Amino acid sequence: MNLKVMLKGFILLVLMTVSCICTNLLFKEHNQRQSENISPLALLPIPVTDVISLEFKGLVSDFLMLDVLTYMGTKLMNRSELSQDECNMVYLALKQIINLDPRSSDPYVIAETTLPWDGGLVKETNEILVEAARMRPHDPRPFFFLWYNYFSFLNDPEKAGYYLQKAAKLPGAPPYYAALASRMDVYSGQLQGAIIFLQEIIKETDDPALKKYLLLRKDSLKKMFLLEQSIAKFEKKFGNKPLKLEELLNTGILVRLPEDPYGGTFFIRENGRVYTTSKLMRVKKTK
Amino acid sequence: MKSSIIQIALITYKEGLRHRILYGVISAALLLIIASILLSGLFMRDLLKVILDICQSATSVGGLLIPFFLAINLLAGDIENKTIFAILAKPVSRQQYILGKFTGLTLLTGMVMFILTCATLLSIYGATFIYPQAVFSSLSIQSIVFSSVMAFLGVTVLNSTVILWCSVTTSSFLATLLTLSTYMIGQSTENLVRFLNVSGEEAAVSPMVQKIVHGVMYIFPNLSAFDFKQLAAHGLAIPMQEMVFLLFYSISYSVIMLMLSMYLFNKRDLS
Repeated sequence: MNLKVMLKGFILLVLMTVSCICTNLLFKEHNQRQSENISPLALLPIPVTDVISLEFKGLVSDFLMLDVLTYMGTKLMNRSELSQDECNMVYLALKQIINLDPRSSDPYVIAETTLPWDGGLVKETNEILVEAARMRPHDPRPFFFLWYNYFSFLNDPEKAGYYLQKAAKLPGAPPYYAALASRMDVYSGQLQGAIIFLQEIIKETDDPALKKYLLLRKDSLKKMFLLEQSIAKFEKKFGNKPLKLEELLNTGILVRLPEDPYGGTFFIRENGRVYTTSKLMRVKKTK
Repeated sequence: MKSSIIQIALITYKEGLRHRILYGVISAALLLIIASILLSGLFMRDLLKVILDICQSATSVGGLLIPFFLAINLLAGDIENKTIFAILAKPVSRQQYILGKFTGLTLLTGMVMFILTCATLLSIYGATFIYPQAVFSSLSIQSIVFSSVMAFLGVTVLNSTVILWCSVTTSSFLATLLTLSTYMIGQSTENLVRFLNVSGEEAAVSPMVQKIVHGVMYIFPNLSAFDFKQLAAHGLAIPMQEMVFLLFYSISYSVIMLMLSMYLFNKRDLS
């Protein structure tokens, strides 16, 4: 009798162990596959998603948002940049989410922090932001993001100023929006605007992986801004722009050249602006 | 007459409580509500919205389980198990039976949705201990309560259609299928009509189809109109005028369904 009970217990233990191992292996396999794709729901035509979501549109939009966040989180953890196709897929998913719940704020923040930077989808991001501004009439951030896109990516300071003024007029807008809007014409370059933009985003970002990603970008832009200021000093002193950054060291304007946190090297472009060989993407170390 | 209806309603209510499914639903929904606090932590900004999306969806699902499972079980079960003869043998008319059943189901729905709404408010209270105060800046308890009341009215309308389907058919499977179809149509017709209005000539939809879709909107209950979950999740006020319209709509639609059910049930040969 005891032997029978012990045998049953042993079989149960073996089966439980096999089950646990299989669960773990399946999770790893599945996790690998899942993190490579966003839910196919994102690819469905918008009216179809609208109908099949029934009265649970908010919940479905949350599910898709979580999917996008997991997908992008995995990319950031693996330190891999989004390809054009991946950016397009994220854009489609964000459009679905906004259609299901146009008042949520996560999708347009994600759109702004990734799509124009990694996929060059500025026009598409602006469409999302205009919709967000319409649906969130008391939120100054969509206008603030539109300002940045027009200012930095589309080189249209006039339109940028228009959106910044709109943002500044909304209650809850930081006081420096108004000051920034009035000083738009003073900016010679876009770096300072980009740094202010990133500071604003970082302040409101809780996700550690995204925060790290944005901090790295801000750090790089700050260093480029420092170099551009030093070039301006050089020009004032000697009447011409330096051809290489090393000239700043020889003339005592800089003590040492800053390192690109992405692993690239800063250089002066033909137009006199500073850029980096990393193109603001992490450079993979070669063995 | 009045006391017979109340008695049948109370019997239906107690019978519903005896079904373990009800306790299972409540426990599952309560667990889901607790999980909503943990799940919301995975999001960036819309934490309160995510909590409310999950909790309010749980409240709706809890309410919907009454017409989908319990109502059919209680109504069709009476006929299938022949217990209806014992009830009708007493001085109770078929009309009183229908009205009593509907009242009992409405009481059950109200009780389930009330518990789940309380659990929603509790989960928000619990979340205040975890998340910073800024997360709750858009919170509107009034909107949450109104949204639950509107969801309850929507399920009540669906309950009245369940009574109709159970009066028409003898099969509980068919009644479930018809209720499910009513729910799906009720949730999507408004979207379809809007889509047809927007697309106009571009979509090349035949005028006949357009007329049928418009007709369906008036025949089947417009259940999507009772959905205010998104407004409540974002802390926005639910228009009072719309709520008054919905109240009249739910009362008139339910009464029509019940009158039709009583007429058909009266004509029906139960043997």
